Amino acid sequence: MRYKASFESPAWFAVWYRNYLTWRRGALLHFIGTVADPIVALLGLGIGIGPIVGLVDGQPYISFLAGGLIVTGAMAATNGEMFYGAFTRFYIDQTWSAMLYTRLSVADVLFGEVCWGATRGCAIGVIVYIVSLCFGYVSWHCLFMIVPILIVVCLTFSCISALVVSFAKGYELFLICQSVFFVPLVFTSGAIFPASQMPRAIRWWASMLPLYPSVELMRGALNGAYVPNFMSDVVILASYAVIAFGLALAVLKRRIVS
Amino acid sequence: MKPIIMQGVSKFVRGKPILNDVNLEVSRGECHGLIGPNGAGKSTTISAIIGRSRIDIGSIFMLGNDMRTNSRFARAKVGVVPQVSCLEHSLSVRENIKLYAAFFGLGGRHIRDRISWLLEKLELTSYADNRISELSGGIKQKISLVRALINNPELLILDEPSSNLDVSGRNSVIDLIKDLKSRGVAILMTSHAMEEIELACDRVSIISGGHVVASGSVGRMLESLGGSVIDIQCQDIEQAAQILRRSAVECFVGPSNIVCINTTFAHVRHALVQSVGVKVTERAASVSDLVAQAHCRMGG
Repeated sequence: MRYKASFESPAWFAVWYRNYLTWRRGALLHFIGTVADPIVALLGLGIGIGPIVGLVDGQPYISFLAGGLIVTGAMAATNGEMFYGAFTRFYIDQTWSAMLYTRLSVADVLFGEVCWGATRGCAIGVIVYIVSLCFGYVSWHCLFMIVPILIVVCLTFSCISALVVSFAKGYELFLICQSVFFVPLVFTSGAIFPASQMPRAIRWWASMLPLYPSVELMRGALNGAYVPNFMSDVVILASYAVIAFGLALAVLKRRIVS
Repeated sequence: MKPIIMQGVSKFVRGKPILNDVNLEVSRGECHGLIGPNGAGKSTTISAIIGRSRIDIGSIFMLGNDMRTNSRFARAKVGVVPQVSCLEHSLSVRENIKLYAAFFGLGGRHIRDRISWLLEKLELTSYADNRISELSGGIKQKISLVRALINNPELLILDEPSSNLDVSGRNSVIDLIKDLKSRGVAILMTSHAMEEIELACDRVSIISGGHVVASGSVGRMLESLGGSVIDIQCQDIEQAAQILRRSAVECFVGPSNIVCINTTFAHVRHALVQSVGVKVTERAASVSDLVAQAHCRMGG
């Protein structure tokens, strides 16, 4: 363990570092569990359904799917870490409680957790990208665009998950959220099939939700194409992140300092 | 300025007072015991002091910082041993303490040396590389204490510090407390182990029903009980207490006994002369008698 922080280090980084240290102990199991899902989906759907579907938006279906699964895989990993990891540390194990006896504030702890959740998501997104690259489904030219987009996307979903965590009193809420919010989000985002297949009203509604702009940005980067809504997509994601973080912080402060 | 100053602190939950006009001061180099029965408000008082519980009336200053506005700076110089240790079970003892130092923004050789010194002080050096999950409750409790001292605190808050410890563990904690006091560290502790309070604390505050009902030096408060007390054990405690009160004996009823104060052995024996199966003994007054007395006066 080589922690060389000084008092000037950002306080939230200690929270991120704590999570990294404990994650490192079971890294292999964590890694296999999280990365298996999107890769199985990519290969299963891509190889199985791809030949039936043929070309989608001028590219093989599996290449089309890769862009969607990089984003949805990263989102799922971020949500999983926040829902089960951060919530357990906050509510079950009282790890946050020990941190809050130190100089750390609730905002530091929450931001550290959000950054850690985003880190886990980004790592999974990059791995799915590398696997897709190895199979030749995506090109390597876009590597340097993928990472910044994943950071923005994962921070956004980490903040949204933090908001859910701030209200949770048990794991049941996360199952409900997955079923009624995140799964429909995947099917309306254009990750699995082109958004143009959906009725106009649903497409408009979906474009206001955070996954649609995420997928749009990722596909644009993968295809090296100009994304006409680039700025508005980034603004939508940033707005979700800022509002969700602010609300989560307010709710958690009320819960922790009771 | 004193490390802890609580002035007229009240807290209400759904209109019911949880803390009621609590006043408490702890000086440098003093160990102050906060004692009282379960549910009296000890933990809420501690939560309020460290800024984890919102107060409705009054003010709290910790190390000169107003806890409503400046709690972060105050906490940087405070060590807390909570009732639940919250240690990282997958990490080693040394890693846990190092990590806690990181939460304070501390690291480097100075911290490594301090960890070694603290582990040695509490006879934990041989456990330094063990994972927390491999250790007993008593050892974990001691590690919580080491962790709380990593930032060289000016104020130490101990919530039941020796609840899982054996006699030798308790003695080493008491020795450490005495050492810290001599270095000018202010200590606020709660404990149900009254002998520990008597050995470690200079002053105590007895809290009952969210209110500090008595406060002062341990010796002086025990003197107020007359030095020794008469302890009565019998089948029907309530009836015996009524007989004693009719004979103008000042007494209070405990869970399994009656304690009489400011009276003589002969007077009590005379009052209970017709009662059957009563065992009357005279013994030195203890802090637990102070708590029982306060609890009875509050109608508990």
